[in-house]
Amino acid sequence: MTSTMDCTTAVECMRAFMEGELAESDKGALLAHVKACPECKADFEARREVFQALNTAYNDLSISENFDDSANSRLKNIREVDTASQQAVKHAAASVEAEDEDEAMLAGAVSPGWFSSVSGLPWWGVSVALHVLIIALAGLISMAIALPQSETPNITVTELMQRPEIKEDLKKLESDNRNVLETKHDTPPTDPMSKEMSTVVVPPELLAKAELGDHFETINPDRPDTQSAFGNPEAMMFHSEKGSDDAAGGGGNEGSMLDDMIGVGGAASPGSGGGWGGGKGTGTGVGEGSGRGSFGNRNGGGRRLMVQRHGGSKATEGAVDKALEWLARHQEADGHWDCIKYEGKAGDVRCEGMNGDAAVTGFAVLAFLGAGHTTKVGKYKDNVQRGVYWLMQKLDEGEKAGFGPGRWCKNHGSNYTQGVAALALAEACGMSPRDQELKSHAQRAIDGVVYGQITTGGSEYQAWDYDPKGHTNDTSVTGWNIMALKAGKIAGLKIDHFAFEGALHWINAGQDLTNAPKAGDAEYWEGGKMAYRGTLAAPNKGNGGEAMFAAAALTRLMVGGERPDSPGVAGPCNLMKKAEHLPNKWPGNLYYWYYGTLCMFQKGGDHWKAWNEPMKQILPEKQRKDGDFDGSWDVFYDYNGGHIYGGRVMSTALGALCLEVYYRYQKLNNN
Amino acid sequence: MPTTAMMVEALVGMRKEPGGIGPDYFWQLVDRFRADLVNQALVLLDSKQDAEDIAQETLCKAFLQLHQLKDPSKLGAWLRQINKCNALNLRRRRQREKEQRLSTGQVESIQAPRTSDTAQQRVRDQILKAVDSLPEPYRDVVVLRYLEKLSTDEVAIRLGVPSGTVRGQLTRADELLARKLHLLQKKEEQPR
Repeated sequence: MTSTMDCTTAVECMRAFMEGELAESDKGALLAHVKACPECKADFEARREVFQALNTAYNDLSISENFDDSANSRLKNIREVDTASQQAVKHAAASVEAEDEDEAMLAGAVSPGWFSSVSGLPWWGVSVALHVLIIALAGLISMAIALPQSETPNITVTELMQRPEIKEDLKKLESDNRNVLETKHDTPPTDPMSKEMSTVVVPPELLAKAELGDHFETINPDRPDTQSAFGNPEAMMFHSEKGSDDAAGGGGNEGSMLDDMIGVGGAASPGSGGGWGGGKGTGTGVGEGSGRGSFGNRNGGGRRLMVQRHGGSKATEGAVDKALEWLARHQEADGHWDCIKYEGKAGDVRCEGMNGDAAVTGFAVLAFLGAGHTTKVGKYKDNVQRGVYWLMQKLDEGEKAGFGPGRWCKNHGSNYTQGVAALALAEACGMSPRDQELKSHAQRAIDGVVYGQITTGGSEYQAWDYDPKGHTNDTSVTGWNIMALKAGKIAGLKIDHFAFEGALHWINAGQDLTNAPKAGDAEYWEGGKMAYRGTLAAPNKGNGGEAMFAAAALTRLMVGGERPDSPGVAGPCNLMKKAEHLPNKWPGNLYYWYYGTLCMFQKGGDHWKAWNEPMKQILPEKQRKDGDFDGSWDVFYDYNGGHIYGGRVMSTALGALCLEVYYRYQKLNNN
Repeated sequence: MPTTAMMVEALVGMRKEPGGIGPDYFWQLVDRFRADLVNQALVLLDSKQDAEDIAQETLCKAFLQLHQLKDPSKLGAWLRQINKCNALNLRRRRQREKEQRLSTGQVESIQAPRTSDTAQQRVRDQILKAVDSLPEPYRDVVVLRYLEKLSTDEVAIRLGVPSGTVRGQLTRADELLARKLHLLQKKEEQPR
């Protein structure tokens, strides 16, 4: 972007400016333009007033936390009581068809009798009603286990009452009790060889609790407010408004953009509570406080649901548990993971010293984060904390966003490390957004990612080379760096959006889209191979292997916001769906599998099915189960152009990340 | 998040195959429309509590009466229509209650209802009203952005459109709002 700006661009930038999202370079240009152009000045002032007015007007008008609870219980009430209001709906329907508003307004819509009976209920009344209902439902839920999720049966009252989270939170409570308290509930991971589908099952001990209602002594005997849910309206655990981040019932309804929450991952929107019992619990500790937002499904109920919905199994979840155990066992005392010690490729600059250690530490931290363990929450929070703090310590001060002469890794290949480590910090930050120290470090790491990007003369970005500010775009390196930027964006860090476009420049140059059909017709087109390395002038179109086209398609999806049926995405996905590219043989190229898994997951449908079926079998099957290797995956140096130079730590982390795909990110498009 | 088009499609599917719509659909309705409905009710009612009550009621009733909607593509309009009826009814009822209280000599409750007395509240009412009168895509992005307090990217995910589209629509919505609030009188259309 140059220093002059035309009126159209200026108008487009104004909102970003007011939201504080505009890049520094554009701010100056915008302000200069506004100063010079009286029309835009008037426009700008008007917009600013609107912006402020909107913010003020809606400031204390967030939708209530218990909106969904109430809607839920109300739905049941209507089913039972309502007859009269059907009339009103009929009238409304008729008038919409007739496009006549006034008639419908006169028609009368509410039958006052039942309305007052519902709205007159105090909040705990609703809670009690739901509570009783859940007890009654518990039996039905367990009966419903046999039903496959995809077959949605007819509408009935009982099923309506089961908002997915309710079932999930039962599981969440169970798993969190287990994780945090490590009481006798601590059960070993489920049989890794099981091919059985994961289904939502209500554990008997929870059923017993639900019946007793106010006997939660096992949860925290020192905190009376966590003990009673049913008879004690002060039980913060179940009625959290504004909990502490570190205590039961954390999260709550007053968060800023992201909430830290116990047991439910982060919530990227304010107003959704969380907590062991679900922040907006209902008296049995099975509230609806499932995590929302980009990282919200990483544990607790959301995770169970996602595993089930997207085709995971007990075996995949068991394998993730085992892998995390292995990683936790092999962390160094100071918090980092060692690359060379565990079969990393000695003598390779990407693996030796800081370069390799920071990278594999990033991978390991990502594996924990992906399963919902953050610096504050979860069974492995100490491990995550130590890993993240180690990365933060190693991040240097300096003019260029901490990556001047003392850049993390000065050597060849350091952009790999930068991307992975920055991705880990950015995700950690996104999941613990109130940690200002972490945030400032993540911001600097992300700035370092942008700093390392190739620029052509001016401020026009390209992708990334092995070395900071190199010359040859490298698709593989680019994948990690762009994921870091994306995670930073989700975490609310400041990122020049042209940095994203730089990556797309390279993908557009390097991907071979000759003879590609136009968007929408590409559903069956196989093609779109991607270059491995090249410049914009000589991109070596399409000469890269399977990891490259997977990375290209993923970048398009995550950064370009392209639809999954555009040729640049559908082409590679169709290639990956072919038998020779599926994750069906071992030793497998886990590096490719990681890209491929994320990409095919986003693509969804038959593609995901074709990919997921072999993957979810082979990974648990090939996970080592002997001695010190228990829980890890073996390292293969050379396989079809793929190298796991980072050793066992990297291969194990990648394996875990593959199997965490079901809940790690949201699906970008609903397809 | 399913897009509106997908929800409509699901409705059409239900027509062909009665009972083919699942309970998940209710939550889709809630996620997609609750902000819009609450905003609409807020314009007519004095309290947020009431507005939310009304929106819940609308969603519940509508869900149970989905088969009565003749043209699924008018799902949004239909919901708004029901919502408006419900809100107006409650408004009348509140008015009556107030009159009764006054006539029987009861003092106004300590928790005074939100009225348009102060300048600030007048401005707020104007804004809510202006937002409610925006054309559909703009209204949607604004209520999701401000009432649901979603970020731009989250709004995009919720609506199933690219973030860029949301940004553009918000920019346009600002302009329309500025006009409605008489903050802006200038050339009719921004070059786009």
